Amino acid sequence: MNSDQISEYTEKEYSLDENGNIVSTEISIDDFSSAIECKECHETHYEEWNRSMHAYSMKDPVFFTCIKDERDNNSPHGERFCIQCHSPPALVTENLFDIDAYATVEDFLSSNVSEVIKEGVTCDVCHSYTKLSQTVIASDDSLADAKFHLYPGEGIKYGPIEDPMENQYHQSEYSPIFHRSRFCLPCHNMVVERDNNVIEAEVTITEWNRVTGAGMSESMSCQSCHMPLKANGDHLHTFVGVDIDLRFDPIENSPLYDDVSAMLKSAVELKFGYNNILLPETIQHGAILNIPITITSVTAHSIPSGTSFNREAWLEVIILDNNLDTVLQSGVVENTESLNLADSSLTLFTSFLIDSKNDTTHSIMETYGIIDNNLLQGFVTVPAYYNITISNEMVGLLDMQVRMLFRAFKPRLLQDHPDLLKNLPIFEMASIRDTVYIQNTQ
Amino acid sequence: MKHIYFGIICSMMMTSCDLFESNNDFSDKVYVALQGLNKIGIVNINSGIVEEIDINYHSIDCSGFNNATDCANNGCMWHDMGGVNSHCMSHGDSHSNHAPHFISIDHSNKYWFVTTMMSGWVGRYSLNTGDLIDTIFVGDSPALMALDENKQILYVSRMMLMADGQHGSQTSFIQTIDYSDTEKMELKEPLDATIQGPHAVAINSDGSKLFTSTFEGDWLYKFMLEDNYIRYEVPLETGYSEDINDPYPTKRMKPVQAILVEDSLLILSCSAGKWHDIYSGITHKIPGQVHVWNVNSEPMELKDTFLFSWDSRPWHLIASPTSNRVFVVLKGEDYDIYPNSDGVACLSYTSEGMINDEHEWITREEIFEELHGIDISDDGMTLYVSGFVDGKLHVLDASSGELKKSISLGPQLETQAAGVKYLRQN
Repeated sequence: MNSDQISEYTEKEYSLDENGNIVSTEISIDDFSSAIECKECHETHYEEWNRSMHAYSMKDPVFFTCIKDERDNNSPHGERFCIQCHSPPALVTENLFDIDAYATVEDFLSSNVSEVIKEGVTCDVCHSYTKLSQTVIASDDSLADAKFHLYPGEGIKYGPIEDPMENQYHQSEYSPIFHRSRFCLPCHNMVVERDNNVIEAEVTITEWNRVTGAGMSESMSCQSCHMPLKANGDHLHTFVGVDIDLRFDPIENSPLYDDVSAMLKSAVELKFGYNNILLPETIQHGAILNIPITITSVTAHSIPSGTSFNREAWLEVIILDNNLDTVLQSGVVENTESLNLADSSLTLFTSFLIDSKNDTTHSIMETYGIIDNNLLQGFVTVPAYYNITISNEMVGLLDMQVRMLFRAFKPRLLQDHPDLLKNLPIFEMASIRDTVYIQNTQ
Repeated sequence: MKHIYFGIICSMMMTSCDLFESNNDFSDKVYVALQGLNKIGIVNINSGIVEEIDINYHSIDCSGFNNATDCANNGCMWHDMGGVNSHCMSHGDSHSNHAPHFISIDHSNKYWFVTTMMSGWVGRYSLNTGDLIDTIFVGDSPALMALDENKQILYVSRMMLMADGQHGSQTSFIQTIDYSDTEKMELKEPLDATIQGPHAVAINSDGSKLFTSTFEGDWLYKFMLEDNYIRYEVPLETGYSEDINDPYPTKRMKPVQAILVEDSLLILSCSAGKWHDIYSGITHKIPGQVHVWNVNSEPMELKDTFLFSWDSRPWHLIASPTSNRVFVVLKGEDYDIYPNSDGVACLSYTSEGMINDEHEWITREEIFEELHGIDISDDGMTLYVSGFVDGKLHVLDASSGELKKSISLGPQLETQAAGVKYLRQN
């Protein structure tokens, strides 16, 4: 084999016109196997995938609302921009169903639209992938621009196993690209170009790449955390991240709840003190107690990431005196309640998309800028400080409870889905607790 | 195992092959670390023939280690998933992944060396036969190398880490390896740079001083190798990184590679780029830059700085053997978002360490995708530059920066061409 041969790969091609319409495609919807077919031999993998957000991508009522909004406000590009990643088979085969024909996601799921499309990011989307893709750059017209290099329908399934077992159902081919983080492109890195400005809207891979050791070595790849190896050597196919199916009440019964909770608990570390500024053991009346907190990301991309403008992570700080009276609190909210952005002591990690009128927006299509200074960058340590003036009324111990919390949606994004909003969980990422003794100087 | 492949491809760029060949030695060979393929490619520049050498040293199955200590001690990576889901894994998902990163050639003693950043080995090969002589495990993400050919000592730097102390390089040590024995290399006392991930490394001509700089901490160090390893250090920027014991170093400059010219001037590439000021909450775009340091003074003195754009990310660099010029690879920001940010630049400097305000030339080509390594021919006429993402070896005219040709080494995105070393002809 020479270098020419190494670089050879196979794919079925498709092309789009300036409106995102398929001009030509070699891919038929029938080329994609339904996940149900895969289940016959790969039941565990199927069950894992079926719990995943990849399987949920076309079943999510929130997504359904959003794509209808895009249909109403930014047609035709808007809904195609969404569908390109939520159901790649629909895009590449020009099976772009009429979203207006369905009042609810349940209507859509019970329709005669191909099951493969309803399956969203189905098995064959990944296992017919033959070449790595590039970042989606949405230009001024926000055309669907994801380039999928697929070779479905030819009886070949690609994967990361170097010596796959032969079987009578399909040919199996090893592909080293399955070990690469960039395999998760084009859907996990999207930028918007407006008036020649680059807006890094959803750039998980870029964030990861900027952690230099990650980009250069593939050490701690996407797959190593989001598809970890199981004891039997297989990769877990739940693609655990931060999202879960919100239709469950109690939400703890949602299929990925425990996995998401565990992942978030492994994402950051908290401690009192920052560098050489320590939390004192004692404090006197009249003094100002400075409470330093160190927040360390142990994640190879920003927190939050992906649609960081939808998500938020923050510090909940509660300080009680001896009488259990609240001396200071910040970031204390119910799950359905928005954070108080006017709280100057609030430590908040999120981003905001800005539209052409300088208002915030949640539509990529309407984005003209992003405020992303408040993301906790990959493997970065940052301080947070809280101050209390110790009044004479305070006595005994100050009990300081600090938690880093996370939720995948800012509550107002779910205002059209009160049934989901009530289930929206706030996950605890880390917690610390300590006391300071108030010395009575009177 | 060695394979020889003959069906190579050179994609000719703009200039005719005949013109190029007329000015060059037909037998020029360049070694390229093909990190993503676990191979070294030995490229015959004229013919386009690539001889490939597999890197498949003994590797460890990390899945058997059930605690973080055993895991790290065996060159693996502990993945803390919280509780019972935590597990030990090899770097890069596959225990057969070595990721050869950098190559050094000892032309005097006829060896060449390679570091495998993921599996932690240094391999020594015969320059005459290409045979593997021996390997030595140094662990912890070995990266660049500096050679003392007279004493036959190899100095191995570390890959920049991932800041959490668990992934990437964890040590602050430059590993010292004695390779004077013709059959077996031996680890010697390492040099402690105090901050994790000392990456840039250079040595003076008589082997008495070694310089390194930490990607993670923005410090420049000088070790007196013949004087009990006495260490001197200086921050790369005034006003930042002033406490060498700061547990959270500033990390604005992100130095990558150093070369020593005239035994007194250290030229250092600093990749810089986006930097988040944790106090103001503002993300700054720090220009990529090249520093010239007088390293014979004490303290070492920054003589001059050349600034590129923030997204240029200066990476590997090489000095001309025939003139006061230095050639800098601009790695660029994420190549498909900032497609014109990578390239190759030529700077000139004076013997006093001042860099001319304007670069001599800068070459940016559409075919470039995340350039990485660089070396130069004996006569100073030709540059060889690897493309980490494009998977090519680019050949440039050193006097003009003109791209002469690009040789494909493997698939785009997968080959990950990294370190480049030119085989000297004399």
